[in-house]
Amino acid sequence: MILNKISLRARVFLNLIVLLGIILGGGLVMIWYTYSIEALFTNLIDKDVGALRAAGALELNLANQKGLVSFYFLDKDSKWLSQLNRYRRNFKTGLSKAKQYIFSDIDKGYIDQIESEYNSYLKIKDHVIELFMAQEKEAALKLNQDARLEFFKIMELLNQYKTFCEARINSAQNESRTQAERLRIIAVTAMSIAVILSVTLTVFFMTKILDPLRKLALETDRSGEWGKPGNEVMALSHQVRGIIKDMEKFALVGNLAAGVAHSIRNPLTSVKMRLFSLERNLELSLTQKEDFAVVSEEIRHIDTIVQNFLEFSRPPKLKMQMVSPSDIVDNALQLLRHRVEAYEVTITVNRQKKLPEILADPEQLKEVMVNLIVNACEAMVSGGSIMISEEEIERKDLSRILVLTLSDNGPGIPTSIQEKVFQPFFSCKEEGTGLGLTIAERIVTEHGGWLDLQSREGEGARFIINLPIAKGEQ
Amino acid sequence: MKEKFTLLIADRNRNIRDFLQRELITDGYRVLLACDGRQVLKIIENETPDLLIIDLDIPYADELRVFERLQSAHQVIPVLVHTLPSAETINGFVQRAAGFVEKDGNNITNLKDTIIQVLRKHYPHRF
Repeated sequence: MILNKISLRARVFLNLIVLLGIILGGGLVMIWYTYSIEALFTNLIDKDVGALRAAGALELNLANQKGLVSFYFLDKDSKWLSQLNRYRRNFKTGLSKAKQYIFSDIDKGYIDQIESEYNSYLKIKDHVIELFMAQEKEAALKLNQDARLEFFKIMELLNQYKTFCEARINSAQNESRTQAERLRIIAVTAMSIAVILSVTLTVFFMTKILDPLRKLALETDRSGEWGKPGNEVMALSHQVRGIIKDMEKFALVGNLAAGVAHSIRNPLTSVKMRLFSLERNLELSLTQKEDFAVVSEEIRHIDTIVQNFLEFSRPPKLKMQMVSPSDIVDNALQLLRHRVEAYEVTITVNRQKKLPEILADPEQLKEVMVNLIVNACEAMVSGGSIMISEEEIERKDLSRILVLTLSDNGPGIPTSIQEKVFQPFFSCKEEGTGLGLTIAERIVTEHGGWLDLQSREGEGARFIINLPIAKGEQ
Repeated sequence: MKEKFTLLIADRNRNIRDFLQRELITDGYRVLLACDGRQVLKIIENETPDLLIIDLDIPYADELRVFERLQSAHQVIPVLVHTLPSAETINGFVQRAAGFVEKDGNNITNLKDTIIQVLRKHYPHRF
């Protein structure tokens, strides 16, 4: 999965960026929408509705002109004519107002047509009035028929124009509805994505950060003061401070202990010297000799413990050189030849070909081998066999490692103590110092490798030394 | 040995000093003892031991730079380091020493042999 290759950090950031994008995008869409709605309504009210109103005013003023001339014919009162003039002026004003609402050729076409028809209507009407004034009643009435036709034509035109304006308003409304619909879809989509991302983010935070943090806080909480949910980070930093203090204390105690161990060795050597001297000069009985041997033995034991402890507390720096682990195995076997014989153990080495050279400290690695071999020998009470196999293995990530496996057919290590055997001062042996495996593991770790243990009770134990081959060495 | 050799033993442990003295006197050496670096310097002001057998883990060993003083004295005194092995003590001091013997309670012959070797090397005319 590509997702797995992206770090947690990157994933969280990506999530946050997308979330931010959605929020910003949503906001921008909203702003854009208000503008477009505003424009739409401005159009609608200022223009389309204005045009419609202007058309309505024209219609009214035109309708009002109707019949006034006929009234004048009936009673010859000039007030009708003046009223007519007023409406004509009104129509003129209405027309110039309607001209403000010309936004398209269609508008212009309507208005121009209306104007020209109106002008010819006026001309005819004026002619009618002139004829009437000239007492040519018959001709006036006849011409008035034409005027009426013209009047209805204009009325029709105005109606058409109004319908056109109404249609435009309707289409604007429809457009706004469509836009609102689109916006709703966008909003719903954005909200769903935001919800999904928020949930993902929350899960991330819970599983990858908060839960581990809480677990860590709980694990490190030795005082038991912090029992309820609260600020885990605070609690943790508090506890880490405590741990650091403890570590400083441990380091101090470690130094003290190392100092003590160091100081013990000199008097211990003195004791050994005197025992050596005594042994040389005394004629001892059998029992005395046995007592003497025990004292010497125990002193040697104490010395070993102290020596191991010192080695453990002050690890020597690795003296790296190019060396084949196969040679180290051979050297260790050479060194232990007599001891192995004494234990009645046979050792076989399973080697296809000599392992390649790696950068390592041969002395330290030899000590690891010696520790493991001696451990195995001591575990197998009455003889047994040890198999050492050497392999070069390519791992999944294509890095290569050298693997030394040391298997014995001894009693094995019970599962319950398998983790403990690497801890300092843990020993199942009567005379163990409890540091052999700890030292061995540390040496392997210092070489950038790791020491594994596979064992089942009754089926022997298998220690696996894994040593990486540095890239430059391949 | 035609002549009696004088050995100076520097060790912080009195019992070790005494033991080594007893052993080496038995072998026919004249033995001087020092419990720290200061005493070593004090002794070599008045006497010139033929060999200094020193445990590096003695008080005032570094501060007084015993080794340098021994080398710059009118007569160079060979030094045999007799100490417990530990990473810290195995330093430049040991490399410049005439010999090195690991302190071992179970075996004193090693020390004795090395003493003779160093003496032979430095004073061949006196054998």
